Amino acid sequence: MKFSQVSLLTQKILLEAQTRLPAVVERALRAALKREKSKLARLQLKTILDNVALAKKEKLPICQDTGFLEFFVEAEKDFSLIEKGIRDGVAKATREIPLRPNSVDALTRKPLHANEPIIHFISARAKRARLTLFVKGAGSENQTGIFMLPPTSKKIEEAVILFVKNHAAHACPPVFVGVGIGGNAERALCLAKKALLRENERSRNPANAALEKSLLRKINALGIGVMGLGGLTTALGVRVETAATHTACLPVAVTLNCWALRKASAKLK
Amino acid sequence: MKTPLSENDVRKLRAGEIVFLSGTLFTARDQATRRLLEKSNAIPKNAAVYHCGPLAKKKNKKWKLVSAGPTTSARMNALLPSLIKKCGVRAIIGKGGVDAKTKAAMRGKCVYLAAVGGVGALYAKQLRVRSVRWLELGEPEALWELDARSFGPLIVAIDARGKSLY
Repeated sequence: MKFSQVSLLTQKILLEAQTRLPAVVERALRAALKREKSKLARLQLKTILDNVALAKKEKLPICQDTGFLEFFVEAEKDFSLIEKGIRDGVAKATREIPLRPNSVDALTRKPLHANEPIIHFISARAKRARLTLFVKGAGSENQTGIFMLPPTSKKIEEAVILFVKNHAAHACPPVFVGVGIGGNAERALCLAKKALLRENERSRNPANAALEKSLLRKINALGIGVMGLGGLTTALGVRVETAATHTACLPVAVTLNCWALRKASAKLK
Repeated sequence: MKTPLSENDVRKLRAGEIVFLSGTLFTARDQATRRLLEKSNAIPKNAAVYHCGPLAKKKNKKWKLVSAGPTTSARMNALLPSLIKKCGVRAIIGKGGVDAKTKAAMRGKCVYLAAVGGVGALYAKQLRVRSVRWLELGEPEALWELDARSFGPLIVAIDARGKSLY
């Protein structure tokens, strides 16, 4: 593996994620347009679809908030070389696509005039090495919550629905809802992110799939609608990921994503 | 509709109506809104303020917008009643709406226009950069003066009578 290859691959998946919406997301938006009867919901969904087509055609970032740039590296070795390649690719893509320079110092709020990527390393066999990018806007990331419920609680669904009710309007709905249950606090948050990155719409785990289905129905009954202006579509999807937890713990994390679920992935060679 | 908007213009608008704006707009989000409260003459009276941190590209010393959709207005809630009062803002363009205090401050003199969130590429085509100040705050937080040509669709989401779609 070479540094320059990682940098080029990083630039390639950045361009793809920022300018081309995954086909499954576009299909979900079209299905919502078909279902909606409200004039304002329909107008906004049509405008969203026009924007998606324009961004794809002219290779323009779909949204001006080119987001947090979160990378998941699955590799056997060469971690430090890969990190350097990602950083170089992010700097070049920021100038060339271009991306909005979003990073600031957390306390002084001084702009860094750059994008600081967030990079996770996961060990994997060499032939399964992959680089996956998740682009998440601040409006979505701000709508994130974690609840440490009592382990015997029957209120997981209630907690998720209440959170969506209070936060979805600010996350550019129709949203995707990522739910992580189990692990410890930060593991639950990672699971919620992992849920949003999952390829298949429904979990293969029957209990998780049943929860996803029930949550989606109840969330769409809230009537928040496109951009909070009412309608039948508050969420385009709900995805649940679970992991083992402590016998005395029940962490439940929720993170919302705007309609523009932006991600891309490629093999690392 | 053409900016600058008069008090009379905005009073006529009703929640649920769809508008397209032409004329001058000023972007101001978190940091610029804070600074506008100290330097209220940085924008003219009767201005339309767009909650937007644009993605722009500088080519041959000229700025061009690449993607410029709305940002969440609620982040600026605490500052908006003073902004409306001090700067005489007639229209706030953003997404997600504002709180009750801001809504009260808008009564009789200001409307909230909801732009479609995430529609950055499309809205950028309807806007030209006239000037930019306060770039030291960072590109997203700077005060961009934009020339709008049929900028929309925008939805009157909170009108000057206090009727809200949220």
